[in-house]
Amino acid sequence: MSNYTEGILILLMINGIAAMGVSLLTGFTGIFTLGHAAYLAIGSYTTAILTLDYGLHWLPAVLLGGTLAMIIGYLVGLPTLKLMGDYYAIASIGLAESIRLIIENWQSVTNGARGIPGIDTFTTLPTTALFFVVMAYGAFCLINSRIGRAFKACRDDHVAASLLGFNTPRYRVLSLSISAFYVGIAGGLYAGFISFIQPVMFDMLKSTEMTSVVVFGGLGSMSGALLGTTIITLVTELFRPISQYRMLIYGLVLVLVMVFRPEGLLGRHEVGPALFRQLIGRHPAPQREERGPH
Amino acid sequence: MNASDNAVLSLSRVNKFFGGVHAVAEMTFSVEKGGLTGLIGPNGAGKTTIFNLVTGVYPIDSGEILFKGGSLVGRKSHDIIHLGIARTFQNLRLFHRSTVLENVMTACQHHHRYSFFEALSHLGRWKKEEKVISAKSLELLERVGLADRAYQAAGTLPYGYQRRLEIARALALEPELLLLDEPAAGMNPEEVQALNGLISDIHRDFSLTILVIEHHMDLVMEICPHIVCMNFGAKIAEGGPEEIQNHPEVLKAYLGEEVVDE
Amino acid sequence: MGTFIQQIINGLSLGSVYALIAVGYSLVYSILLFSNFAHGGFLVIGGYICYYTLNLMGANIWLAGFAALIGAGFCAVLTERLAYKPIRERTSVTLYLLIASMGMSIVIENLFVIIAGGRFRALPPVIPTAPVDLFGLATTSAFDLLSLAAAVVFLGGLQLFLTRTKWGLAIRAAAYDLRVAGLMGVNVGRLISIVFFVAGLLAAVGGIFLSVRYTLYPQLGAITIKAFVAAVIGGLGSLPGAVVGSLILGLAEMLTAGFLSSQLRDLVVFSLLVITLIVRPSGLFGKDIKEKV
Repeated sequence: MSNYTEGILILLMINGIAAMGVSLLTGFTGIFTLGHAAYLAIGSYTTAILTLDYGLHWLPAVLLGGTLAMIIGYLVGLPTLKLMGDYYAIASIGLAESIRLIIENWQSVTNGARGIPGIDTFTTLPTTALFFVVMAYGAFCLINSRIGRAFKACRDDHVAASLLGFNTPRYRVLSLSISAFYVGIAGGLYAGFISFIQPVMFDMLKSTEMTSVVVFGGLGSMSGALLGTTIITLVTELFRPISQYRMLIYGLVLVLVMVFRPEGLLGRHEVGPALFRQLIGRHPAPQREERGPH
Repeated sequence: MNASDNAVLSLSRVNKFFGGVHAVAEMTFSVEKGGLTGLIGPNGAGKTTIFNLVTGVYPIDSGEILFKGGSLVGRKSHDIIHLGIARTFQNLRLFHRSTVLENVMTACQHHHRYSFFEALSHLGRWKKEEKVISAKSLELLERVGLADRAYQAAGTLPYGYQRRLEIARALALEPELLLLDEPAAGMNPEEVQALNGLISDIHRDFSLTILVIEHHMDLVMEICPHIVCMNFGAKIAEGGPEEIQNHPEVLKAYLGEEVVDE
Repeated sequence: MGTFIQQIINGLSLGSVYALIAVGYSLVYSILLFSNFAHGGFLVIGGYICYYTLNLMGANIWLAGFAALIGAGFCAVLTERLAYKPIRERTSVTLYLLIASMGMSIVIENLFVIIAGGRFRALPPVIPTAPVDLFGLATTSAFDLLSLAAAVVFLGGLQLFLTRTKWGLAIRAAAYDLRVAGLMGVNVGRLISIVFFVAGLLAAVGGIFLSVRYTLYPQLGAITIKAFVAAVIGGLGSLPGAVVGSLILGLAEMLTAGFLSSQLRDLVVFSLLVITLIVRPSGLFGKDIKEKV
C-alpha cells in the first residue's frame, strides 16, 4: 500500500471517530454543536504536550486527551444543557473560540499561534484501525441500548421523555461527555498523524465541517455519519485544486440537505441486512421508520 | 372532602395562574386507592392543567398535592414518574418515527437496568435485560391489541391505535396511578366501546388507580363510579354518575355546549 | 478619568452597534425559536451594497445607506423564503432550521469571497471620524457619537413599530405564540417576512458602522457571535435583554481594551458568556419558555 493511500485511510478513520462523536450528540440526542473543534483541539494539544514535554507514552497521552475533552464537555454541558433552546449551540461557539484564544495566548505551554511541531508520528494504520474498531463497536452498542433509547427520547420529544421518567438534562450532558471523548481521541490521533498542530486548524470552519458531514450522512444514523465523512473526506482530497469553492459547497450541501432531505443520505437507517432487505423491496424491515403524520 | 387514609392522590386547595388567568382555583379532590375516577368539564375547564400540575410539568402557585401521603410539590417530572405515576397525553406524544415496540421499550427499561459499561459493550446483563424488556413490552402490546404492529413506525398507526399505544407505554412504567388524558378523543363509537373495555380490564388486571379526563360523557358514566366535574378551573360537583348527571351546576356548565362532541 | 469616559463612550457606541444586530437576531428567535446563524450574512450584504453603491454612484451616504438597508432586508426575506420556509412548513424541528441557517451563513460568506475577493476594503470616507472634544472631559470621535445616535434612532424606530403599528402588535402576539397568532387571523407567512426584513435592515445598519470601524471583508459577519452572546446574556428572545446585553458587552470590551490589553477583549466576552450561563442561565431578561403539554 502506498504511503498516500495509507494516509487517506488513517485520515478517514480519524474523521470517522470524530463523526461518530458528533453523530451521538447531534444525530441521536438532537443537540446542535458549532464548536466541536474545541474538543479536537483539547485532544491534540494534550497528547502533543504530554508526549513532547513530559515524555509520556503516546497511548496514555491520547487517552488522557480524550478524558480531558470529556471533562470539559461535562463542565460546559452542565449549565447549558439544562436549558432548552439554542443555548448550547451558542455556548459551543463561545467555548471553541475561547479555547482557541487560550491556546493562542498561553505561549509557555502551547507555543502560541506558531503551533507545536515535531510530534512523534505514532498514528500508524494498525493503531488507528484498532481505535476505530473499538470505538465504532462502542458507539453501535450504545445506540442499541437503554442509553441510546433515552438519547433518542430526549431528541424526539423532551417533554414526553421527562414524563417517561428520564432526567433529560442528565442524559444530554452524558451524551455531550461521550461525544467530547470520541472527538478528543480523534484529536490525539490526529496530532500523531500530522505531527504538527496549530490553533488555526481548530477554528470555526473545522467545527462546521465536523457537523456538516454528520448532517450530510444522516442525523440519527451512525453508519450515515461514517458514510458522510468518507464521502466528504474523499471529495475534499479530490477537489484540492478548487479548494476556494470547498466552503461554498459545504454551505450549499447543508442548506440543500435540510430543504430536500433533512434526514441526510441514510436518514435514520443503519447500513446492514435490514436496510438491504428494504432496498430490494422484501417485507418491511423491522425497526425502520416511515414518515409520521405531520 | 378530606384526604382520607385511603387516598392515593389528593389535591387540596391547589391554585395555578397563567398570567392573569386563574387556570386552577382552589381545587380539592382525592382519588381513592384502586378507584377509577373521572375528571370531566367543558373545554378549557383546566382538566389537563391538573394533570400537568400533578406530573410536575408546571409548578403550582399554592396548595398541596399528595401522592401516597408524600408531597409532589416542587418535584421534577421524572422523579414524580418514578414514584409511580404515569400519564398519557391529549395531543399524543409518541416517538413517531420509532417503532411501536421501541416506544414501549423506552418506558419499560426503567425496571430492567444495566450499567453504562454493559450498554457500551453489550456484555454482562445487557443481553438478558434487553430480552426481558422487549418480551415485557410485547406482552403489553398484546394487551392493548397491537402485537402484530410492533415493528412499524408509531406515526403510521391509525389514530385510535396510537391512543392505545400511549396506554401501553404508560403501563410499561408500572405505575400505581395512571392518568389518562382524553383517551377516547377522535374515536368512533365502536372504538370508544372497545376502549371502555380496555380501560376496565387494565384497571382490574394491573390493580391500578386510574384518573381519566374525558369528554365523552357516556364513557365516563359507564366506567367511572366516582366523577369530579370542573369548570373555569374550579370544582363544581363530585359524586357518582347519577348524582353528576342530575347536578344543576353540571347541567349549567354543559348547557349551550354540545354535551357530546361528535 | 479622561480615558475612562472615553472608553465608556466607545463602549456604548460599540455596544449599540451590537444591539442593532442582536435585536434583529432576537426578534427572529422570539418568533421562530431558532438561532438564525445567517444573520451575520445580512450584515455583510448591507456592507457590500453600501460599498459598491458609494463607489459606483458617487459618495452619497444617504442613498448608499438606503440601498444597503433595503437590499439587506430583501436578502433576509429571500433567505427565509428559499431556505427556511420549505423546512418550517414541513416540520416543527427547529434543529433543521438551525443547520440550514448555518449553511446559509457559509454560502453568503463564500459568495462574497468568490465575487468580491477576500481582501479588506475601506469604505470611502463618508462618515466623519474626526475627534470631538467633549466639554474638555474627554476626546472621542465623531464616528462613535454618530453610531451611537444612529443606533438610538433605529432602536427607537423599532420600538415605535412594535408598539404603534398593526404589524408590530401582530409580531408581539406571535412572539408569545406563533400558532395562536395564526389562528387569530394573522397572515403568518407575511409576518415572518416582515420580521426578517426588519432584522436584515437593522443588521445592515450595524454592518455599515462595523465596516467603517473594522473595514469590510467577507468574514465580517463572524462578529455577530458577539451579538449572539449579548442576546444570551440578555436572555434569548428578549429584545430589551438583547439591548442591555449588547451594551454590557460593548463596555466590557472597550474597558478591557483601554485598561488591560486588547488581546484579552474576546476572552472577556466569552468569559461573560460563561459566567451568565453559570449564574443566571436564562439571561438577565430571560423567561422560562414552557412548551404546551
